[in-house]
Amino acid sequence: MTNHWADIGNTTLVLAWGANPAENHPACIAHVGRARFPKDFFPVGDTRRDKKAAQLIVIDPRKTRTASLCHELDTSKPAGERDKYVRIRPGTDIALSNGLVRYMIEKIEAMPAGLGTVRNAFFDHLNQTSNGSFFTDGSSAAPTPVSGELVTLTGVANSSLAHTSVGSLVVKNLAGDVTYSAATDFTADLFLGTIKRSAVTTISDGQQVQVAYSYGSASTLDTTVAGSSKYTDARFRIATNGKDYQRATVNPGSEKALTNLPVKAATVDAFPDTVYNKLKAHVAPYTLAVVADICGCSVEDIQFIGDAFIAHSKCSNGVNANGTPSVTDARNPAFRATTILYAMGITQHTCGAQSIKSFAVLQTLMGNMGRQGGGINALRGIHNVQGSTDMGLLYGNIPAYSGNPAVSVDGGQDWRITPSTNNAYGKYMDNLWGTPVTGTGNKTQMDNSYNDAYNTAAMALQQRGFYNMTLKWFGDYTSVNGMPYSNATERAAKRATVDALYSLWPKGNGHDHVTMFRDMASGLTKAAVVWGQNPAVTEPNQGAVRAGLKNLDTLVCVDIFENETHAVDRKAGSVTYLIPSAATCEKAGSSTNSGRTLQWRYQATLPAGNSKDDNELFFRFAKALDGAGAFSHIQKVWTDNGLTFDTSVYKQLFQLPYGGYTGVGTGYNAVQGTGELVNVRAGADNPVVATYNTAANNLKGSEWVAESVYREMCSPVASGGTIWIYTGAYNAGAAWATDNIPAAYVAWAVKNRAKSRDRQDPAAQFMSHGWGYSWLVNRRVFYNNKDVPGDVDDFFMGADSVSRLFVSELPPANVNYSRWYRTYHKLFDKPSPLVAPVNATGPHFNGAAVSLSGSFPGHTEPYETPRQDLAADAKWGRNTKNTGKWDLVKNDGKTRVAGRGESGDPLASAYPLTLTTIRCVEHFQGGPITRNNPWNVDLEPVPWIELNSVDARTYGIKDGEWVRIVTARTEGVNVETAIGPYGQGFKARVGVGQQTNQRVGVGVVAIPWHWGEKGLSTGSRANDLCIDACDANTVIPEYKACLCRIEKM
Amino acid sequence: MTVMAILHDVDKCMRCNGCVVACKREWNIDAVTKGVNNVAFDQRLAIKSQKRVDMGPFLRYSCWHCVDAPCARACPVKNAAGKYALSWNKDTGAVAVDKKICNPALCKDRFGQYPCQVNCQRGGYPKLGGKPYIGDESVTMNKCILCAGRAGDVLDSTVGAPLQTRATVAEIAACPGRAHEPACVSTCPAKAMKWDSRENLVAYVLNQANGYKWADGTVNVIGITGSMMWASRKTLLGPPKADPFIEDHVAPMISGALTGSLAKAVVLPTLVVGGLMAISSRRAKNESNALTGGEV
Repeated sequence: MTNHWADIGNTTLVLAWGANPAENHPACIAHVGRARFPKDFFPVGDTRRDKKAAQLIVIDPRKTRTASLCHELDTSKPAGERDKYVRIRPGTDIALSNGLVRYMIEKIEAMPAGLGTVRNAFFDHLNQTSNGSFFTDGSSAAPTPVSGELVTLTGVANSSLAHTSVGSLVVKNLAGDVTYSAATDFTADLFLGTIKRSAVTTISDGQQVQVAYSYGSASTLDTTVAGSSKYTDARFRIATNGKDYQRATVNPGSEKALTNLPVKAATVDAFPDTVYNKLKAHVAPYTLAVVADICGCSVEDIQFIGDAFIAHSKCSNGVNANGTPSVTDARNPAFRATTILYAMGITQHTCGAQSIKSFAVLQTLMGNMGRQGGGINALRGIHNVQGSTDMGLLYGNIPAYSGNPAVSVDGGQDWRITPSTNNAYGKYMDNLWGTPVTGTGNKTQMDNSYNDAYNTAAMALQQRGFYNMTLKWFGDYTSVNGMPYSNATERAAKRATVDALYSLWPKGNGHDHVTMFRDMASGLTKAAVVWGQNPAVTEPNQGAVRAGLKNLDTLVCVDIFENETHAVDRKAGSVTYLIPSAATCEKAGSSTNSGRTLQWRYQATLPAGNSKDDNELFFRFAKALDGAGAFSHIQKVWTDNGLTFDTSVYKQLFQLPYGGYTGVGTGYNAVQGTGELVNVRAGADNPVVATYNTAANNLKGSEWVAESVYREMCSPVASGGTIWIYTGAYNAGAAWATDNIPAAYVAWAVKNRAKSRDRQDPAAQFMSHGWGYSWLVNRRVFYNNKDVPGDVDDFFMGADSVSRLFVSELPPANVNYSRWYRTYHKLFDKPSPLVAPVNATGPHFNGAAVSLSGSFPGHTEPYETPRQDLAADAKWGRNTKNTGKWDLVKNDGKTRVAGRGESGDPLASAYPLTLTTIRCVEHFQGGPITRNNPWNVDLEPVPWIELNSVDARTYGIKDGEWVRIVTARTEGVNVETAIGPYGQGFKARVGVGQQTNQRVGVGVVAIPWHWGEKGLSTGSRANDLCIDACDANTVIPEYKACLCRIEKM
Repeated sequence: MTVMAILHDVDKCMRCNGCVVACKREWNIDAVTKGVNNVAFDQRLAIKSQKRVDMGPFLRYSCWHCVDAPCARACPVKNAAGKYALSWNKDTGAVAVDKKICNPALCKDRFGQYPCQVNCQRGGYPKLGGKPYIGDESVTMNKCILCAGRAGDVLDSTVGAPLQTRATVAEIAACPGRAHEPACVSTCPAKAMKWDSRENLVAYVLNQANGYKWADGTVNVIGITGSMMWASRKTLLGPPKADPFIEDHVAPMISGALTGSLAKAVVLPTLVVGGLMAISSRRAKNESNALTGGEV
């Protein structure tokens, strides 16, 4: 989430898109309720009552219970302000979002211009630089930047005109229009990004100026307009090959020249190749009629969403006389903001990352990023999913969003080479956010001998975190400050040590989850430890997954119940272990929620029976591995480099730093250390609840080990903290005051800030900086550009470090000018070009025109789609990773894809329905926890399908009947002999009443995927059916759309 | 002592069943038959969709806590001190059962029916609950008791530990009964239930500005005289009367018993016969009440 859970209460338009928070994130729905019914939640006199009550729009193929919260017929509101549910076909989110972009731009451009209008506010947002409001640069008023617009000049003596490329300027007055030439009448101020009037003296106050310029050829004025773009890259110009911005080197004053700086136009529409104009051209095909056809919604639906979006964006946010949105207080009745809540309905597609990118485009364009009640907010399915991604659980990452020091994901860098001779460590450091290590002409550059990569004083946040990890995790845990080799001589002497410890990083990229099971089946992978997961339920195309699990020599499952993965069919002679682990309440530690807030979870009770805390299991594993010689390579590096660490690698790396457990025996629960006294701060807003941990300043067992790990991770990086994003979440010395939080918290100093429980909210805008700790630096609203009063300021250091509408295809090395935000993520997929099919010269190039699909989000059909006509249309097609078709799904005979046409693939026409997977409120993920809880099982005992009454009649299915669903993956599977409960089928829930009130639309079948063959409640697995075609960037499978047919049992 | 009440704002409810599970947790109610389509007989509340299609509005189905509740008036079982098993407390609003006193064997009428069930005006919320099936007289009556003894400002340590609250200090100062909330209210993630004095809640729902009193004059509030009320700005509410024969996809209070094979053999005939008896018995009672001016 760019914002956080409680901040949803500030919004005025909740756009729940591909998310079902009422059923899947019920804990957040009260925040939505606060936004929608402020007067129900706050007593008279509370300023939070006064905000505009939020509108709720739900976009989903399924009319979820979130959708049922909509009050669509609320006659107390004008029609356009009522809630709405819009049904779309699975996998068409980008078409809708691009359609909205087109609709909203057209609509806003057609609005009347003038200072203080919505239209001016919209363009002010896009054009604004770090130097201040666009329209007030240098003076009180200036012409608007958009061609064809009439404005009235005031205070023209000092005004500046923001047009570098204006070919001419027409002044309308009673005596006739007067035309001025840019070449003679204006001079440019490149740094400020404006053109100041010099020769023009005939313009006076009160005249109307019409900006009527033509594009013309590039002039000398347009190469670089410096001054940071404040919010967006809309003014940047895109290179003719479409792969990147145009770039130039500039020298702003006395500082070193900045290389590769994007070339900015003076205004968003000064050139046809600005990002803004390119975006307009890109979305041109997404007309209302086309989008309605693709999405299966109505034109009115799109218009309704677009109109509401405009009405609840920055441009409608109480603009001041200069056209600048001036309301920053969410409690102000004039405040407007739209939040997008999204979840798996968006991500679980072959175009998942592109869909999220499309939200970034919407919110950046409309100015809802970095504002209260705005942002794009991923609702995480598990309380600690954010923590798990922070911790680098994904195969390509090490903790804290750093790439694995192996081969870079885009193949451009190989950091595996021997560090001392090839400076792999220095090159890796250069890849991280922070000070450039290589290259020339940079603003602040580490020296080319890479010495600065060893100099803690030269490192930025992420670099310092990686340096600390390298030293502490591979031996030197005692060094509070890492190894601060602050002088050059010392650095030169010690760099061999750093290189040696760097060499101990694992250097493989691992395998994605689909490939992993294929590797098991082929025998490449011999053993697997499945820790707190249940892939035998959760992975798509179970046939291939289970074939992999079956073929393993050794399978170790760690879970609180025996799950399907442990019970999977195994080959003869193989070994399977089930290790009982502790449940969440039986262990201590911090967890990080979707809003990036770290909160402590105390150990409520010791683990039941013989089960163990994950940390204890981990230590025991490490100890056993050490005893078996698995860490000898570490010991060898230490010896070779004269590092005098403990002779036991286990002891040096695990026992000594983290609480003192020896790794054997029952001593884990007895280790102890000194914690701190944590009380709930008293306050009028605090509930009368028990105080936490009042006497627990002597921490034992799980609490102490978790505290030890937390202290290492969350100390400030300058004090040796290893996880740079958590820097300061543990602060042994300083009080809150150092963290840029409101003065009210200063006296409330908790070192372990995850344990802080202070509900005070001085700004009364759902911030509560004293509750837990949000990374980075306790900032609650990301990208806030200092626009959110009461929050920790965020600001962009680099000249183009702005929210991007456009994604460059080139690797980060091309962006080498900013100390803080040098790198950004590129996307790896290549949606079909808009104009012509993929051809030999590249997916974005069609011989005549450059398609920017991929750099801008473009609609692609799901891999299995009922709209074969759209998939075959070169305008849309299917998503790809490279230039090939179908390359987001494996073609090894283990995944059959309806309509692909490979050997064994059935025809798409055999599967007339679209299957989409869903979740219910009663069950959780793969189900081991909830399907073993009798209360949950009582509430939702069997898997079901939802289908429409029209389809039910077509296939002769009555409500409550048991049906079988068949996809290409399960075609021909003999249900009588199939392993597990496949043959049990699903209980049909047939819709009743009007189509709009039914759960799913015609042609769609929704299936929950929580079930398997173990636990108190067993049932058919939806993932037998699902396709394992995956997004190119995230390798998330397309759980949300595949083709199926339905059979009565 | 404060007369308290629960207001269920139906528009905010999304049927997550958090209240159902919280109730079972606080009152230690087991699932009946693990893995079978059943909901416990001693379950005290359920969330059901008013419409057949499981699309809401979702209403809390539980005891209405009527003023001078007819079920309590009908209860004949009392202890030596003269306290009845089922009683309406005019000072707290709760219609609560004292399970130490309740003894179904003492009050079963000649049709096999129990006075509290027969006299419930809301479809029969008091249930002879528990294990294993209806008719087992070793167990006592169950229904929502407004967490009496554990919520509000009248506590009884023999019932259990006082329950938590989410009210602020100021809110508790204004209404002392909010110091302890019923488990369902405290749990509700949507904050769809309010726990406040009945006086405050009545004033709240009747205030036109709050939207429950519609422009056409409809006061879309159910149960406003009792301590359990429902309100909606959005949908015309039907009274959530208990009906063991309504089955929906979600939480059949009792219907699972009717579809299980054992239940079909044993329970259904009993229920059908018993139900007819109850209806007939209730009708007779109502008619007699109508004649004498009692509640119908």
